[in-house]
Amino acid sequence: MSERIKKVLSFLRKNPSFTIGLIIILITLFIAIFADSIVPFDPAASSPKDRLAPPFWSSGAKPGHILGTDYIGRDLVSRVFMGIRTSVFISFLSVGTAIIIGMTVGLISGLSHPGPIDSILMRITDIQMGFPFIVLAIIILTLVEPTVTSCIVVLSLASWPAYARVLRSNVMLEKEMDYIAAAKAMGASSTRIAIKYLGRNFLPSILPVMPMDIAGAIITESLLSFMSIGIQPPNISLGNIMADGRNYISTSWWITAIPGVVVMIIVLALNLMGDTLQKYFDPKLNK
Amino acid sequence: MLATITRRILQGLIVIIGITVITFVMLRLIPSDPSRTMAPNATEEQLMQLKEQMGIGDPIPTQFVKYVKNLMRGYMGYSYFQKADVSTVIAKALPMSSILLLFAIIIAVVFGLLLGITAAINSNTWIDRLISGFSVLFQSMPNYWVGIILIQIISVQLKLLPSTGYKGIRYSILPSIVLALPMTAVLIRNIRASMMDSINQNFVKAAKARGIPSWSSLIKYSFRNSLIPMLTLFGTQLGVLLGNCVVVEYVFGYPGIGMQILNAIVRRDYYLVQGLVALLSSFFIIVNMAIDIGYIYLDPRIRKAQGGL
Amino acid sequence: MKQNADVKKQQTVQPDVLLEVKDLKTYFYMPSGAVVKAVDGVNFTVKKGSVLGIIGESGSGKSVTSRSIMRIVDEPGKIVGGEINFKNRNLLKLSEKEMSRIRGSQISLIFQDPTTSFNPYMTIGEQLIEAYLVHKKASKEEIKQRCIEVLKMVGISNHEEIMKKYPCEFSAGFRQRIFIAMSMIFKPDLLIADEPTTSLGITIQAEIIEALIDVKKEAGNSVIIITHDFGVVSQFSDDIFVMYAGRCVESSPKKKLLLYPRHPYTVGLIRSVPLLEARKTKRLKSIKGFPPDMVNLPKGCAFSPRCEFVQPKCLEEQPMLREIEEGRMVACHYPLMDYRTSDDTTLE
Repeated sequence: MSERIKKVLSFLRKNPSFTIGLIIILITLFIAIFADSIVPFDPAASSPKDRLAPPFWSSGAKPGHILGTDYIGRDLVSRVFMGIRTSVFISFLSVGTAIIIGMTVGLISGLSHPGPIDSILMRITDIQMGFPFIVLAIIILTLVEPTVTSCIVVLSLASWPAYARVLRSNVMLEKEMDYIAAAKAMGASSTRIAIKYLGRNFLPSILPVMPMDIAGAIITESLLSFMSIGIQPPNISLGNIMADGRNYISTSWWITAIPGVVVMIIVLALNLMGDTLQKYFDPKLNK
Repeated sequence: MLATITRRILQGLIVIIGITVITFVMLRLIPSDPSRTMAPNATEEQLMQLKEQMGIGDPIPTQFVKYVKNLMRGYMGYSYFQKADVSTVIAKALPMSSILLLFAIIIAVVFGLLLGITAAINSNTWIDRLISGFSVLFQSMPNYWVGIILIQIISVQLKLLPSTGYKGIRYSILPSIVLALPMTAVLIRNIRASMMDSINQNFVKAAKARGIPSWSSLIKYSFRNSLIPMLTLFGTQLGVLLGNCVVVEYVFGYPGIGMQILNAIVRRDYYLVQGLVALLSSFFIIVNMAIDIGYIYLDPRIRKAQGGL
Repeated sequence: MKQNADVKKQQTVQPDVLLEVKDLKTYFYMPSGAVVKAVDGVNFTVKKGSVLGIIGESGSGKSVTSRSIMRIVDEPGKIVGGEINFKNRNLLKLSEKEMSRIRGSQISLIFQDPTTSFNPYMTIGEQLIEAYLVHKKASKEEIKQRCIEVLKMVGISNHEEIMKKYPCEFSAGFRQRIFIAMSMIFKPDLLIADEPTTSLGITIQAEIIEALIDVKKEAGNSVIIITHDFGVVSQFSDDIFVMYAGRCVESSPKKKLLLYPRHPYTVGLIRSVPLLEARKTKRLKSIKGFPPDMVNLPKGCAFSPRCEFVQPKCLEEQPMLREIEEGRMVACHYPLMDYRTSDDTTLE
């Protein structure tokens, strides 16, 4: 066990950009989990006398409101924290959903290859990839009620085909391997083989993609909410806050700018992690 | 070879048909009545009549059959809200988006190459770190947010460029810059990476040993050598680019395909949505198909293996 | 023999010396923090019009030596010390720009693997023309003329056809001939051939060596040929320089070295060559053990773990290169003074 910890520590030391990304993500997760206990103000409480207060570094800042307030005087820090919670919740769950859908489709497809089921599933994957995602998302979110759940489902549509393809090609490769035949010969059922052996090899191939997909989901979620077809008020999303601020951008730019910077920092952290993982798992670089 | 191409084309057709069917079904499932939006004060009878005119009076399967029949004759339907044929609306909006995409691609390719090569040549110096740092940063910014901020800074504060709408080519500049940013960032990173790969290839070293200075051999050898990975990248980035185009048009109120599609969805302008979705996805699929075929022409080794073609 | 050593020839710079490498050190600074001393204090000279053979196993530093001369050492390698005097100019003191003017025009390097040393996306003609135009502005006709000349040097006559084709359309041996031709396009004073035949089949090897000999005869330039194969140097060199673990272990005129190798490593190398005319009676033997781990070299002589004549002193003290006879240098505490590879005295 201590051997493993040593390995992790040396990996972190050798990849400072990964470590920085990880630290940011851990902070983000902390904010997301404890958002309602650490917010300085009630994120929904308006206070008209403090409206459009600037952040702490400009003159005219209101005490307590570190990042200022929005157009009805709601504290921006509190709203951003709640927005982070929504974003993180939705993006993590949507990627999780995408992996589950992708794994299921990829597994069935790979195990039934070659065959009609595989062909059909692969064409569905193609259709999903060929459909301009943002248009699909908008159509679906006008078709169904835009709730947290429907947002998760819609966002998961963006990334499941990639997982399905990766798992399918893994399954097709592994099916031919000797140890699978050996396991079969020993009487293991094919479902058990699939889960035990294929699942293990699946992780290295999806791990580098996962952070980037989560980053994509965070951006798309904030976009949909910004276009007011995603998370609906009174729920708070980073996109909502930006949309609120857009009418006041000339005078109170921070309302729009700050949530955007927060999105950028989280996405940057995820990209840094993804980059490192990609290099780490790249067989070409791992000679 | 020919068989491969035929199969690709068939698969592409299946995908386009699938997307058309799915769009059709989803749109009709949206619980709202576009004829009611058209004529809020009409009587039931008038509405029935209007529905007939709009081509949405029949049961959904019948509507679909009619739609397909029309498509076969090359007729994409009529947009009631625009009072024009879908093809006319597309013909008007398409050049607008094309300009945007074209500008964006030019900007991205020029700056991607320039900065990517500069970073590779100066690898592990502060220049490289600066360029790479900025490219990661720009890749991480939400595109629509960059749009809002740039409108504020460049149009409103500095008054350098017009902000929203369209009254001339000047209105295309800022949206194409915003559209180009993430793509430029991706290109910089990929070009740098593939150049760094190429630097370690034997023939680049052999060129250096012949006195060809490293920047020259890098550009000449590595660029030509990285065209294929670049092409692949372009295929995968195109989807992102089209999606971003819709978003940027929304932010800038730019009257292109993206704006049309958003308005059409909101108004339930069924046939217009239908036509625009088919347009976007066909474009995406055809370009990707062309890229697959393009590989063969770009690499003399594949060309030789294919026996000339 | 001892007397001969006393009548030393002057070792200072002679007018007929083309290249003088002095105490060259090229180290690789690995990301793990380890330092690999790939070339660690190497000295040799190449006379005008002569051929020097550098021989050693893979990892002995011979290729790094050639790349150091061209100043194209790969990262994380760095030339950390020494002098490379070419025509009385220290190449290590030149700017990158000046150096690139010398590369390809005054010194050319032939690479080991002709299948990877061409750009696959440019025709042979494009690459020949490019090689010419880097150093000299010239008319199309002039370039073409020169291309025909150099291609003829390596025995290629149907130039029209060849120049239009891509490298992938030729065999490896043919590509290597084209590469030699391309290296000669500016009649360089020094041609370095870095294992030019290693990746080729036996029959083609002979063909390439012949092409090199022909080219040398015609151009009269100096050549450094780097190889692990005594068969190659015995055909085509005046002096031989044996490297082990980044250092010179023995240097000598060819004949003397082949007949009376003094260093146990040289003896081992010669014994492992099947096709050497100088020794027909001895059994074929390869050197026992493996090439050294360059990160953790042994304390004393680097060859000691594999040496069959090893003594206690060898494990403690690193032997210095010293002159034991006229023109012969050996780095060994106990050189094999009485060893000879053949009893046939006429070979002397």
